[in-house]
Amino acid sequence: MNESAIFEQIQDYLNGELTGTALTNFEAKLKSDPDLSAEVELQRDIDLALTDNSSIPFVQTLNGIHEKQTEREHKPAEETETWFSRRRVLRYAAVVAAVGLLAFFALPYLLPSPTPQTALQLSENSIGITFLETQRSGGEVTDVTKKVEDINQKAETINQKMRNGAYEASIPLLEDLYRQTNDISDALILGYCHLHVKNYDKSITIFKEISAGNSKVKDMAMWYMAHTYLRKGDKTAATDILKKIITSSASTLIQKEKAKKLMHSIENIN
Amino acid sequence: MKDKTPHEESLFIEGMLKDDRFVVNRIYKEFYPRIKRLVTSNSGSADEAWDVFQDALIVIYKRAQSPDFVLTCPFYNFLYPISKHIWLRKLNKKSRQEVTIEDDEGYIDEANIENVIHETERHALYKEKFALLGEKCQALMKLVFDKKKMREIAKLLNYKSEQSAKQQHYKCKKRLTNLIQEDPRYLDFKD
Repeated sequence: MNESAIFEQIQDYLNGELTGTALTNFEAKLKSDPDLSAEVELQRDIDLALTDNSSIPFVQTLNGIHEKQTEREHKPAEETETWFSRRRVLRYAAVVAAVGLLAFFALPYLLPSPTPQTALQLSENSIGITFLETQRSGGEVTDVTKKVEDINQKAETINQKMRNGAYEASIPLLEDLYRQTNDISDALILGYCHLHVKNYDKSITIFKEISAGNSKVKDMAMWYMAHTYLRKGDKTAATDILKKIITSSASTLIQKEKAKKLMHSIENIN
Repeated sequence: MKDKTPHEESLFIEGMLKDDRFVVNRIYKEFYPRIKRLVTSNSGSADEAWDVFQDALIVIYKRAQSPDFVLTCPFYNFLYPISKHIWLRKLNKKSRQEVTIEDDEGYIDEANIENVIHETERHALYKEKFALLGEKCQALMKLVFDKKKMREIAKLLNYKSEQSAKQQHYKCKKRLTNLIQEDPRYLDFKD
C-alpha cells in the first residue's frame, strides 16, 4: 500500500468512516505497528488543533451566555429595573425548588439502612438546585407583568409553606402553579410533596411522566422515583430504576455513582 | 500509578462534551469571575480575560476528547493553571520579555498540567505552520476540518473530481506534517 493510500485510510479511520473488516484490520495493525499508531495520533492531534473552535457546540453556547450577560451589564437603568423584577420571580421559584430538593436529598437518611455520607454528598451536591434554577431562567417568564407577579406570589407562598413543612397544603398551590407555568421543575416538586405526605402512587405517576420525557430533570425524577418505591417497600422496582440510571448514557458519572451506592445500601437492608 | 478515579466535578467535563446548556451556564457563572480576576489583576482587560477563559475551556474540551482522559481533581484546579499559562503566553508576547504571575491562589498541579501545557504549545505550533501553507491548501483543509464531504469540497474549490481533491488534501496535509516535524520545538512539546 502506498503512502497516499495509508494516509487516506488514516483519514477515514479518524472520521469514523472505516467499518467492518477494514476497521478490524486497521485496528489490529494499529496495535502491532507503532509507526502507524504514532502517525494516527499526530494526524488526530493536528485535526483537533486546527478545527475551527467556533464550530464547537459548547463554545457557541458559552458565547451566547456571555453575550447575554454582557448585554445585561450594559442595559440602561430603566430596563435593569424590569430585569430585577424578573430576577425576583426566578429567585423565589428557585428557592422553592431548592427547598424541595434539599429535603429530597435528605431522603437517604430516612431509608431503613441509611448511609449518612451519601445523604451528605447529595445535599452538598448542588447540581439539582442549580439545574432547576437555570431551568427557570432558561424558560424566562415572558408573560405580561401581571402574570409574572402572580407566579411570583404563588411561588413565594409555596416557599413559605414548604419551609414550615406544610407539604399537604403546598400540593394544590403547586398544581395550580404547574398548570400556569407548565414548568417541569414544578412537577418535580409536586411529586416530592406527594411523596412527603405518603401519596406514593401519585408521586410515582408524576415521576414516571417526567422520566418518560427528555427534560433536564429526567434523571432526577428517576432518582426520586427509586426512593418512592423504596418507601413503598418495593426494593425490586427501586433497584430496576437505579440500574437504568447506571446504564443510561444520559446520566452523569456522579448520578451513576450515587445510584450504585444506593443499590448497595438496598442490598444490605436485608 | 496515579489514581484515575473520576473527580465528582467531572460533571463539568461531561456537560461541556454534551453541550449541556445548564452545565455550561454554571461553568460560566462559577469560574469566569475568578479567571477574569486573574487576568485583570495582571495587566489584562476584561476582553482579554474572556479570551483566556474561552481558550482554556477549549483546551480542556479538546483534552477531554481523548478516551483515556479522566478529571481527577476539582475543575478549577485544572482550569486555573491552564488559564494562567495562556495568559502568561499572551503577556510574554505583548511585552516581549519574560513575565511572571504571583501564584497567590495556591492551586497546584494536580492534573498533569504539564501535558496540557505542552499540548497548548504544540497546537500553537500547528497553527503557526498551517499559516505557512498556500491559500488553496488552507481553504481545502479548513473545509475538511469542518467535516465537509470531499465531493462537496471538489465542487466548491473546482477540482476535477473527488479523487483529485483527496489527492490534493493528502499533499497539503503531508506538507503541513513535514513543516511541523521539521521544527525543533515539536520534539520539546511532544507528550
